[in-house]
This record gives sequence, C-alpha cells and structure tokens, in this order.
Amino acid sequence: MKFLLVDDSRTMRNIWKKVITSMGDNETIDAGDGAEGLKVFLEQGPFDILLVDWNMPNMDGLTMIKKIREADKSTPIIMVTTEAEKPRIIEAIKAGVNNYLVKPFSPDALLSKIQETVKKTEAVS
Amino acid sequence: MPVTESKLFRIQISHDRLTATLSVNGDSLPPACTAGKIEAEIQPFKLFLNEEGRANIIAFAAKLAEHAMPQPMVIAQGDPPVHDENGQIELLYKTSQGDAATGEAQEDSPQSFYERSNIQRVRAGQPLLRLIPPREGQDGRDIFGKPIARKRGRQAQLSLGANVRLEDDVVYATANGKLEYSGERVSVSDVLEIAGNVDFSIGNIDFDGSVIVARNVLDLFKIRSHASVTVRGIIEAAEVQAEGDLTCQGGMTGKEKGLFIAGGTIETKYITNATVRAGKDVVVRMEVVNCDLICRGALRIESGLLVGGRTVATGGLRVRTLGSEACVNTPVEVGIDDNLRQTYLRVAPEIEQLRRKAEKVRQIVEPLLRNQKALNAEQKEKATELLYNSYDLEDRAEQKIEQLRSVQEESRQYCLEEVVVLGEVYPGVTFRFPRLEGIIESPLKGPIKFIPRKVEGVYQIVAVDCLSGSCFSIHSGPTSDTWLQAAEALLSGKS
Ligand SMILES: [Mg+2]
Repeated sequence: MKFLLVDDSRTMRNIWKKVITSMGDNETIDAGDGAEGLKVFLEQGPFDILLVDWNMPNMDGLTMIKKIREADKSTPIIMVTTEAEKPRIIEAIKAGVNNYLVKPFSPDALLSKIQETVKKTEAVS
Repeated sequence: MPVTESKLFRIQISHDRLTATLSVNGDSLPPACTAGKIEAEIQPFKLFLNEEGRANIIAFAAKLAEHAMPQPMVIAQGDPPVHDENGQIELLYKTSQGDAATGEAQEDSPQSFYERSNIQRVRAGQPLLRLIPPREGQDGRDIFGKPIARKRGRQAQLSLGANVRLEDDVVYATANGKLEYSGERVSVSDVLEIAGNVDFSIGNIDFDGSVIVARNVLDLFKIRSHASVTVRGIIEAAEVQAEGDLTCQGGMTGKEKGLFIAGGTIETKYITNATVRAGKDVVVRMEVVNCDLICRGALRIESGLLVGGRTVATGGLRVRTLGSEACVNTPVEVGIDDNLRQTYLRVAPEIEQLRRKAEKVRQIVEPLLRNQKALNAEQKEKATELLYNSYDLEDRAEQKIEQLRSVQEESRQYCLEEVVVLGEVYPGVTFRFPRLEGIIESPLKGPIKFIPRKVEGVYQIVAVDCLSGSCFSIHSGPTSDTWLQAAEALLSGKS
C-alpha cells in the first residue's frame, strides 16, 4: 500500500513509518505541513491511505483534508492528533476524516487503527 | 635483376619491381635524341612513368645531347606495399605489481613481503584481455602500374579455457579465481595449486576457490580460502582459514602462533601448540598437544593422544589416550556449544541494557499517560515518542533473544555429551558437561565412556566400561560455569 504521512514532527513521521513498514512491504511519502501534503497528494497520488496531523504550520491538517475532499471522497484518511475534545473530533469527521487517533498513542494502537481503516475501506469497495 | 632492352637503351628492373633504371645499351654512345624519342623507344615496356621519371628522362636526353655518356637513371618507381599489422592482445587487468598493460606500479602496492603474491586473482565479470584486430595496410604498385598485394595481418590467436567468455573482442572472467594466461590461452581456475611451499616466492594467499599446497606452509604466512584448503606437507606457525574443510596430510606445528580455522572439518596427522577452530569435526591420527581447540562437531583421535591446552568438542570426544602419566592439566568440555556461549555472552549484556533503558522510559511515560487531560499538545507528542521508544527498545531486546534462540536450536543438533577413551585416561583430566563437571582422580583403562547420568536422583558423571557395561561415578558436581543455565532462563523468559 501507498501511504501519505503529513505531520510537522519528523520524529512522529518516523514513528509512523516504522509501524507501517513493520506491517509489510508498504510505500510511504511524507510531508511536513498541510500545504506540502496537499501538493504531494495531487502530484504523487493516488494513495491508499493518508495519516494527517491537525496542528501544523502553513496549512493545518483540517484545512488540507477539506481541500482534498473537494476532489476526492474515497481515499481513507486517519487523523492523528493531540486534539482530543469531542467537538473537535466531530468537526474532523464532518470534514471527511475516516478514523481518528489521539496522541499519545502506542505503536500497537496505530497499527490496529490502520488495519481497522483498511478493513472498513475493503468492506465498502 | 631482369633487363629489358631496346635497340639503344636498356631498362633494369629491380626484383621487387619497384624501380626501373634507364641506361645506354652497350658501350658506345648512341646518337643524341630527345626525351620524347627516348620515351617512344621504351614505350613498349609499358612503364608507369611519373613526373620525376619524366624529368630524369629529360636529364638523360640532355646528357646525350652533350655527347656525354649518361649515368643510369631511375625513371620509374612503384609504391611499396604497407603490410597489415597482426592482431594483438591487450591486457586489461592489474597485476599485483601494477598495471599489466602500462607497467605502471600500483600505488597501494603492499608493503609486507608476506603480502607480495604472484597469484593473479580475478573476479567474475572482470574484463581480462582485449583482442585488437589486425591493422590494415595498403597494397603497393609496381613500375608497370600493377598492384603489389600487401601481406595480410593475422588475428591474435587466443583459445578460451574454463570460466571465461568473449564478448565484443573482450575476454571476461565468469568466475572468481586465479587467472591463467599464457599468451595463447586464457582461463580462470577455481583451484589454486601451489607446486612447492607457501613462502616468500608465493606470499600470502587469499583465494575464492580451493587451495592445494604440494609442500609446506611456512611460519607466519597466511592462507584464506572461500572453499577448502589441502596441504600435502606440514603447516607451521601460519594462519590458515578455510570456509570449507582443512586437510593437512603432514601435521600442524603451531609454535604458539598457529591459527587453523575451518568452516567444515579439519583432518590431519597431529596438531601442536595452536589455536584450532572447526565448524564440524576435527579428526587427528596421532596427537593433539597443548592446543586451544574448539570444534562444533566431534573431536576424534582414535589412535592417538589428547593432552594439555583447552578443548571444547561440542559433538563429543573419542580418543585413545587422554591426559598423560605426568598428570598434565587437560580440561575437556563436551556437549557445550561455544558458539552459543559466545553469542550468549555477547547478547546478554545488550539485552539487559535495552531492557533497563525501556524500563526507564516507561517510568517517565506512565505518569503522563495516567494524566493525559492535563497534557498540552507538545507533551502529548512527547509522550507518543517516549511510548514508541520503550516499545522499540523492548522490540530490540526481543530480537536479540530470538537471535540467541536460533543459535540454541541450531546447536541442539551438534551437541553430544559423551567422552569415549579407548586406551587410558589420567589424572589431570577434567570434564565439563553442560551441567556437570568432574575430575579424573586415578588412571583408568578403556574402553570407557563418560556420560552424565542420574544416580539416586542426582546428576553425576559416570564412567561406563564399554566391554562389561559396569559403571561407577567419578568425582563430579554441578558446573561452576553457569552461563548455560542463565541462557536458558533468558530464553524461557525467567530472567
Ligand atoms: Mg503537529
């Protein structure tokens, strides 16, 4: 599978990458903010799954997701963020997020979140 | 020289038909005549006259006009042929002394005399030789304007032997090995045969294929082979490493410096004062004296002696005489895999350290996780990182345990806890089995077998008489070297 990873923390992106590569022979491309993430999504897609942080410079994750959803309704997106309040989660889901993981999370939690999202997507298609 | 004559003139033609010389026919001066008349006179000879020839005829006629006898004059010249150059062979490899083609010395040429090898090693895919085709010359032309054929060039003669291929006039090696090139034949041999000793005339050997030495390997030389090494003579205080078997028909005289390593079996007549490592069995006909010997298979000296040094024979020991009447200290370990021991000794502290670090990180992150609501975004990011770190550290510790486990599983197929003495065993000999150790307190006669066995509920080393089947315990107890128990505890998750 091909993953797009968008987070302003390189360490966080590396953690994601390690978890994703432990799952199998997956490809990852990463971006350091929403603007870059959007550009990569449009230019280097299609992707099988997106992992997106909320709070980032230049363009935040929510704005990026809204822009992506204008053109693409189906690519699954997991928001991985420190934003844990219920209204924020609802806001994200309204914007088109498929799954939501609150930081701090364990590698196992991320792994099962990805697997759950993949399974749901497969069931739909 | 062929001569052609007219009434007045004679033409001498050189043997190669490249020069025609005009002179007066006879001794008497002919009547004066013009150059045109001379040309007409010699016209039947059909010479190919060029400007220079015509000028010479004019000069010749001028002499006659002066009533003087003209000197013979070259009036026609052909063009000699330019012969083809034969094809050549260009050397594309570098010799150990330098570039084979240019003769330039190699900059990083080895300093040590031991390193000066005359063996030309090549690797698969390496270009070795280039066939340069014959260079074409030009046909000549004789004084009659007829062509003179040039000599045609010959292709360079090269026959291809084993492990080489020709592509676009370049010969490539298709295997790693020793280049054998005689000027007419090229091949790459995966067996290196040394006709005499390995000495300064040969230098150290590092070879991909098998090495066969017809005589001896002298002090301080090194042989390394990715396959087997066979020495027909003796090996002295040298370093011989074979990834396969090491066979020495003479013996191995280590002189405290010899290092003999084989991935496979070592077979020889005797080994003295050397360090010996074998991935499989060590088979010695006469004796092993004062050696640090570790083999993953069995040590078999069925008609000889083992005394002194230190011996670890994972696959058991079978020997005629063990120790000596002089009670020389002869420790023998059997059924113990030194590879497993070394792996354990290496990874155990690493595992311990990784776990300690993981624990430390967990101690930091746990309070954060219990109190997530109070964390700001940055702290939440940090907590994720820490959590990941502790998982990662534990993962790495787990990987090392797995590494140890695979060595343990592999070692099970090698281990045999058994010493068989066919002749005599003397005091000074000590046995160490995986869980037991014991000593020989008085001389015993064979054939006798030493094995661990439960006697009245307690594990002991017992000596079994191979003829009568009777047995008795020797002085033994739990081993003082408890690494194996520690390794087993680590693998079973009890530590
Ligand atoms: Mg962020």
